[in-house]
Amino acid sequence: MIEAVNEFTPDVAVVDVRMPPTFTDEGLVAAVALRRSHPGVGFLVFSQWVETRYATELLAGDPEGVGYLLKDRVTDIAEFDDALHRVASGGTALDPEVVRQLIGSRPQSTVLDRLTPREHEVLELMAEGHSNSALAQHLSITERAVEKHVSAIFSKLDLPPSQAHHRRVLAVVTYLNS
Amino acid sequence: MIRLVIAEDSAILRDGLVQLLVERGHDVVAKVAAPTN
Repeated sequence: MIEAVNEFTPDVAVVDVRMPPTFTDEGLVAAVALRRSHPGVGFLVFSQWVETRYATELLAGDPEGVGYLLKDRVTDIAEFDDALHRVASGGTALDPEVVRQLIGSRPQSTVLDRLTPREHEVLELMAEGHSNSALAQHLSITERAVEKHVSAIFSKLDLPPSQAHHRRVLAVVTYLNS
Repeated sequence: MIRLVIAEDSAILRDGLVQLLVERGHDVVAKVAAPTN
């Protein structure tokens, strides 16, 4: 894989976490190293089970252009294709189950405690990589209402007004690191 | 169209994935079975 990414500089590398020779985390280790040397390449890793340590490792620092899906998700090609497009365009694509387990493993008291349950829901969907329009559709609310929730999240997480996309990424980073 | 490298050690899953992604219009530029070739 390392050679292939060096030679072809793809838009996205789709990588199994567990690969030879030991079938533990070789794929992930290679993906993390390649993210540093090829910041323009997206990495979509997948594994059989949710492994929060691996997800945290992959998302540490800058979560742009990165995704983590369960293998079961690959069987839904439309959903997988959607995740590929998000990662290729610099977004994130996290399996809902990965997000749920990351939340479950976070400390009891964090900056996220400032958020309302609805804002938690919005941020969780942002972490999965959904756009505002997709969020509106998912939550059955208007895009304007989504924008208000997102704005409140930025404010409560002390993210200063700057480039909207950058703040969105920072909010997701805060969420995943909390 | 997205240019892709597929890294998966299972030949069945790797080839199936390649086929599905090519059918979706993507360009699989390389498929490999290990982190280092």
